[in-house]
Amino acid sequence: MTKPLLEIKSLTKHFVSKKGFFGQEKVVRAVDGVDLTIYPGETVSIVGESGCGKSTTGRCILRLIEPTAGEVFFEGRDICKLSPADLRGVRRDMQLVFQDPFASLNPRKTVGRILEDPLIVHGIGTAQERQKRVEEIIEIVGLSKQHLSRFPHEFSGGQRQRIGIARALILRPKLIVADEPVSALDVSIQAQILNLMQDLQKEFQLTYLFISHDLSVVRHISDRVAVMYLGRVVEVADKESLYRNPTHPYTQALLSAVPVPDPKRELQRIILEGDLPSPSNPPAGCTFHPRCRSCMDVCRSEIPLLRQKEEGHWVSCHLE
Amino acid sequence: MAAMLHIDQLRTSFAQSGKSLTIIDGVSLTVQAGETVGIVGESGCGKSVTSLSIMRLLGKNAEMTGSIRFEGKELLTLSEKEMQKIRGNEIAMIFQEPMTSLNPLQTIGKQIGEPLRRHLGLSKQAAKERAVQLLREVGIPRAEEIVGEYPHQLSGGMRQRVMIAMAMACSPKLLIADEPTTALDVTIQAQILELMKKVRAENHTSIVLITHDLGVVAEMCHRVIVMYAGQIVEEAEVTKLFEEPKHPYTKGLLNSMPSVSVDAERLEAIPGSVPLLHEMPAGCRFAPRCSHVMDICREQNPQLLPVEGGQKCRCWLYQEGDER
Repeated sequence: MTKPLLEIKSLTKHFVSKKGFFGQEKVVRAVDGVDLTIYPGETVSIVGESGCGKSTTGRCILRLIEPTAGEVFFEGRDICKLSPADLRGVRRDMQLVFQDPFASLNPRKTVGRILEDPLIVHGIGTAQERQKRVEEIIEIVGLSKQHLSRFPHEFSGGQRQRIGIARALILRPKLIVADEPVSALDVSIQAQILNLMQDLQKEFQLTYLFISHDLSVVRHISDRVAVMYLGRVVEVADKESLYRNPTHPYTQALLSAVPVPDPKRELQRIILEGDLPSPSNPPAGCTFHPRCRSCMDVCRSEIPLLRQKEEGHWVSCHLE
Repeated sequence: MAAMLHIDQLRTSFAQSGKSLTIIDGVSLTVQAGETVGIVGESGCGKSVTSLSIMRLLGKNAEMTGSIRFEGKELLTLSEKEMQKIRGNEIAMIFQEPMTSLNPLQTIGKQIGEPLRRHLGLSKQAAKERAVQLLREVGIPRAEEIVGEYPHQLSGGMRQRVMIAMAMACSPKLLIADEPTTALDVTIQAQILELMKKVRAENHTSIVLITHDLGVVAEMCHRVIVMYAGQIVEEAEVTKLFEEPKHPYTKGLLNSMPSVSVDAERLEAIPGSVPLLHEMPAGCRFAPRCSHVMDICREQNPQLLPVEGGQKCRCWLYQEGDER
């Protein structure tokens, strides 16, 4: 069996906020014990609604946010224990693509400079070699050399996202964490970027951790999918298995809520009552129980563990 | 019977540093009583400006020509005072971002009460009671307490419910919903769509639904208008649009969407991007991105004409009613 590229074990991130001078400390459990394994060459998606902790998980993996507890093994090394210098070395192999292509590119730098920066930071090549790599990468993502002297504001959203991808790619990383990379884009442009990401994956043998709230996009791009709710993974499975046979009541409701572009389709929608509870005061037991239609007594008191239901299909639910 | 809303050759332009930029170019559409018409298109296609034109909510630098008739009454020539009597009363609007479109300094009750007091002349007390009732109708728990709370104390889904309650306060005949669920999570979106269907059924309201989400269109609309770069490129019954899209842009939109129920190896993206306002192509505006482009497309912009199947399409492939 191949070795995992990334292994996350009980990853936890609690943010502490204080209200007022004498106020009580409030702990926001953004990520609460996430386990996830990613093998080389696959695309694993984390899907969930706002506030479920999917972005925080992505950032903890790169240690852009320090996790409170847990372990993140990248090629067998626990990156949570690395010194800043060692961490920098590892970060060459794991890069991030951000959601907002408007906010994530420095407006005062030319595109050429934006793309060259990672090479400078990691001390790669001479000025000429760097220039050559920058020129290569910009064409790989479907833009041209002429674009290198321009500034980010001269580009459309889709083009900016191409630049963001080029910046992540220039170090030839093994893992790319893409945090909602197409959410800010129109659907015709979104399709261009998704196709580009798939092409790049084949060409450079990339592994993707894809973070998104869009279940259609996730179905299209992923090999495996993890569904998160209130800081926990509630279901992980192969794409086919998850979409054909969603098992956790939350996954079922989530999938049934997606509007399908077919006016003749009969709606069989599970409408969830109420809103997401606050992650600073999550419900006891299964955090989904107040909104669950199959709630039992045990759900109110005991936290369900992830159990394997079928080969590769894990669910955390008390239902048999 | 006169149509609820009839827009004829609407052209909206903005004066900007001495130049005039045309955002909406000759949009005509009709909404019948009780009908839901969807306007779809990507950012910058002019769908939101169309809705703001109907409400006459654009700034002073906006210039509108053509005609917008609401129950036979021309809106473009009404004075601001007369328009105020219609806004929030006979025509109401729901905006995309409920946080920025609610007043953060006023309680929910006061904001819902405002149209009631203004248009229906209710007393303060009566308006408050009605506000509680309206909040209950849109499914807000603890309505008596919520009327005294401020928008920031509510979640996004709750705020959108408040917006709907406010829009429905005076039982408008026409509701304009501009991306009403775009800022919401999918499970909350499902709640809001259900609510809009309920409200529509109870009040027989006509709705103009502006969205970029074809899934929402399929679920909510009777008829659909597809806009591209300020013009209507296709108009069709909802089932026709999804089963037999005619315009290459509509087909492109449908093909570029990933599906939650079907697997596709690769998406068919539309190449390129929307042309900028000041560099609109001379001929068909979609020609630079179109896979069926012909010589004539680059020279002349086609008309929006009826094609077989009862829909309308702006494309040289279908001119004079026959398929080339």
